[in-house]
Amino acid sequence: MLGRLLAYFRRNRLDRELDDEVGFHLAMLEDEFRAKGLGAKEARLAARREFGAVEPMKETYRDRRGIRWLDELAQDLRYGLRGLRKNPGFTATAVLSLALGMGVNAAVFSVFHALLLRTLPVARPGELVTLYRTGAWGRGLISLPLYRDLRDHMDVFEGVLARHGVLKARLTGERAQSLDREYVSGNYFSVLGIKPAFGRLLTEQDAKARGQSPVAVLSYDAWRDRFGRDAGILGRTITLEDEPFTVVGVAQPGFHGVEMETSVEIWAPLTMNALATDDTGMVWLWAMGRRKPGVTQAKIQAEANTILSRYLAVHYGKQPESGFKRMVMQQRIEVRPGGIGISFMRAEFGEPIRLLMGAVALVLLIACANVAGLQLARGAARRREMALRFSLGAGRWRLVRQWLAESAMLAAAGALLGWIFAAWAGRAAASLIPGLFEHSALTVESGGAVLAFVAGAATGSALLFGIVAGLGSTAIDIAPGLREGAGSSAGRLRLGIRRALVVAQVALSVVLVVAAGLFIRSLAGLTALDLGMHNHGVLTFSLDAPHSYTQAALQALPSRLLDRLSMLPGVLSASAGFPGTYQVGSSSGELFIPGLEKSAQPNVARQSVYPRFFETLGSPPLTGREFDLHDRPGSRKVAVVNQAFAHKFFGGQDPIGRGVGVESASADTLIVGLVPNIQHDGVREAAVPVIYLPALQEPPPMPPQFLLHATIPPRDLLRLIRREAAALDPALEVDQAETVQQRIDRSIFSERMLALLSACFGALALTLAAIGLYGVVSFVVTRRTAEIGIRVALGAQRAGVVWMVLREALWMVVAGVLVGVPAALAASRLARGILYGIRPGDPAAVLIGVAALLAVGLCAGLIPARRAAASDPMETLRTE
Amino acid sequence: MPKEEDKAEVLQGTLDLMILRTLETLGPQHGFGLAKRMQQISAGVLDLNQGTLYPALLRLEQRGWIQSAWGVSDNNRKAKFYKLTQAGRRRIAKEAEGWARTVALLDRFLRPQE
Repeated sequence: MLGRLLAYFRRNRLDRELDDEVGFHLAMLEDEFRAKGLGAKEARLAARREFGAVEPMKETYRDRRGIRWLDELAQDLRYGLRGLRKNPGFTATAVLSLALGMGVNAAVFSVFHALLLRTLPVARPGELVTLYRTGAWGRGLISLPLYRDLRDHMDVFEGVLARHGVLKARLTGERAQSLDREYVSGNYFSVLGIKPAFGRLLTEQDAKARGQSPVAVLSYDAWRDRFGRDAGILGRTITLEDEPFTVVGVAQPGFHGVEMETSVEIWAPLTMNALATDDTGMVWLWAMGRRKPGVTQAKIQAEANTILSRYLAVHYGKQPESGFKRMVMQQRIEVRPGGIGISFMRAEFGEPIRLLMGAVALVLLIACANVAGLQLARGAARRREMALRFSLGAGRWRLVRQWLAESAMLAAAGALLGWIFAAWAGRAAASLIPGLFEHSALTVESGGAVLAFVAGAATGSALLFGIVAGLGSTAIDIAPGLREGAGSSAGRLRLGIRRALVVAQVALSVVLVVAAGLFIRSLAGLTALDLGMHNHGVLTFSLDAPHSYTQAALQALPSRLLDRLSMLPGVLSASAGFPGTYQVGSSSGELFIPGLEKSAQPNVARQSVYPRFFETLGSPPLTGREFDLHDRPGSRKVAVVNQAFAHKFFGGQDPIGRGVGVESASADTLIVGLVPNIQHDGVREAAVPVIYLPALQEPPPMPPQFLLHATIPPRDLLRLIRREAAALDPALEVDQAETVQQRIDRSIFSERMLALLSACFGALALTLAAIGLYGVVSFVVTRRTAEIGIRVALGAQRAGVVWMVLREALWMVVAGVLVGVPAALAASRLARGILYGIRPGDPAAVLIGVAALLAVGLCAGLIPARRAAASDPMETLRTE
Repeated sequence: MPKEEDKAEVLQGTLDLMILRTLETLGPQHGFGLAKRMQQISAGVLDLNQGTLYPALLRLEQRGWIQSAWGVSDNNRKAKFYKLTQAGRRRIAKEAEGWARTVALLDRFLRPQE
């Protein structure tokens, strides 16, 4: 707006000038004709004739004026390109610095965008919120009765939808394949604002009563890829998990559901799911609402709390006081933004990616400082040219623009290379992380938004270092500038700017290196933790049985397989447990402990384990025994507890021989063993009390996780396992095979990623800072060649000369460190939530940062210093 | 006064050289003065709308061959004066050489053939 206004006034002024000029010309012509004896009127006409048509001329004039900037731009670019071609070393260094800086930015931004910015392809995504339940069991999920309450009574919403999450469903047909299916509420599509491609979508009528409406909607992609654009798809019946569904419609192209990592292929009404009962204890639905215009987050939160409290009072209010009731009543609903969809990866990687985005921004700043420094160095070499152009009347802005044009070309080249590098790095990164992106529909794009981001970053960078270099290089006193030789005040100014740039680079590097130190130390702390189990090579897997299996057959399966596996050569021990170790999900139940108040009876995490479970994991009982084949139905009810359990409920005393009640009010279960705290849930979780129950005595509610400790490599072992499972029944499928170590690594994947990447960025920053330092120090040495020559001639020691030059480098490093350390301390506070076992201001990490910069300073200073000391005084003095 | 058919259209590119050369001999001059002088030198052969001078002047200024500044004319009127730059001087030398070559070349063609 302002720019347009300025242009308007400018144009007016220039037009007036032209009018004045033409007016003067016409007046002179008129005078002339009058002097020849013409009358006033005739003279004016004659003048016009002589001058020619005024308006067309003005038009031509204006056109000509308009393209001037284009002319000059072309000139600047041509001139800049010639300059860059003539200095390949400078150009390569600058472009490479920028390419690295832009590349890491583009790479991190592409993930940042995919994870945190991309919105769902639905109508007005900004209005969507998710309702996330906390407390009690099944985090995030809600029961069907609670969903109905939220849907029917929340006035702040235009609608609330529910969905079960995406699961594979076997498709029976001419060839076996599976579809990713999601059970959803009847209003799912209308709340999201999705239209059908053809046919119809689900309605509330489809989700009225349980099992009544076997209809389904296909995603456009599924219709295209799985059903070959079958024109007769509407009304066709397909069989999913042995149940028939009639396809009634296909959803609009591009819509795959609301989860980022999955891609729904078929939607069915949630009333078709066996879980759709009035049981308030069965939590299986994710809720999402579309808020009415103008409704605030706080208002939604308040209303959700009200409805939840009423629901809890109705269903659990009459329950007697107990640990269970306390847990139930502690439930809350969190209202979260939903427009960017649901992402489990976002929950895990969102914060690290935000931090990395900040880190790469710093890397780019360092690269910019580097390029500005290089340009200033070139500016020093071009000061005679600059002074000459000044004295010939070129405006300063014109010269600064020339630098900007050069900067723009450098930035464009850097951005292009960086973008290519990022696209390549993105693929490389994805292939380095097997299992993370493999089964994920989350796509990381390199076009569109990423390209726009890189272009923006390039423009910003070009302006930044272009203006610094331009102003620094055009600050010239003409007279000394034209003379050969240095020492002008402008030269000192330029050197001052270059030193300031290096100090800034050092300071930024300190921040990055300290951050890397923090993340590495945090990771070291995590990996050094005692997880309570010592056989990290143990192979874990699960066994999928066909639906036709009866409950009894399912429960007999683990022992039958374990018997076979134990016999295999190379297998040291085999066991199983539910839920097992490093699994998603947990199991817990009420416990009766004699001596505790009735209301204080706890809800305790529970593992149902087979014989030799602790031996296999490498965490043998500290006292007592673990379960064996004699702990079977009918024998004495026994349990094993962990140290946290003994500490919490028995005050750290030996628990062996004590009795507890498992889902019974009498203490009839005897504790026979005490085991170390095994981290079943994750490295970072605090140890919680766990009670282990013998699976042979009371079968686990769901298929267990198998554990195999063997001397053969996992791959060969897996082949043996498949063979043994097939021998039992060829329909059995071995799934989720992973070693415990792999599971642990995956659980701290974001920490490992953060440590690795921050170390890379720190190293990059150090390299760039070293180049900057080296540049300035060598420049100073060149300038002081004569002085050094005289000093050496007068008998100065080599060591003295080396120290003199080194001092120059160290001075800048110390200044940078003094600025950088407080900045690093402030910045590290952002990472407080991610660090494990150390505080943001960890002295060791700060020390690493300072030491790294001092080492870089020494190296970057030593090379020019030694060169200066080795110079021959006679030689150097002669060149002066 | 020469007859109409003897008047020459300004050949593309020659106007620039004429202006530069005129400025070189006259020193700083306003548009009207330039037009007068150029008509005088061409002895009326040149068919020039004086107005066409101004876009040409702008072009020359943009190329850095001339500079302009506002001043006061002999009869105390405000006028824009143009003056040759160093680059303009070099340009004249270069253009003149080019013209000399062209003229010599055409002369060979136009001379009666033996």
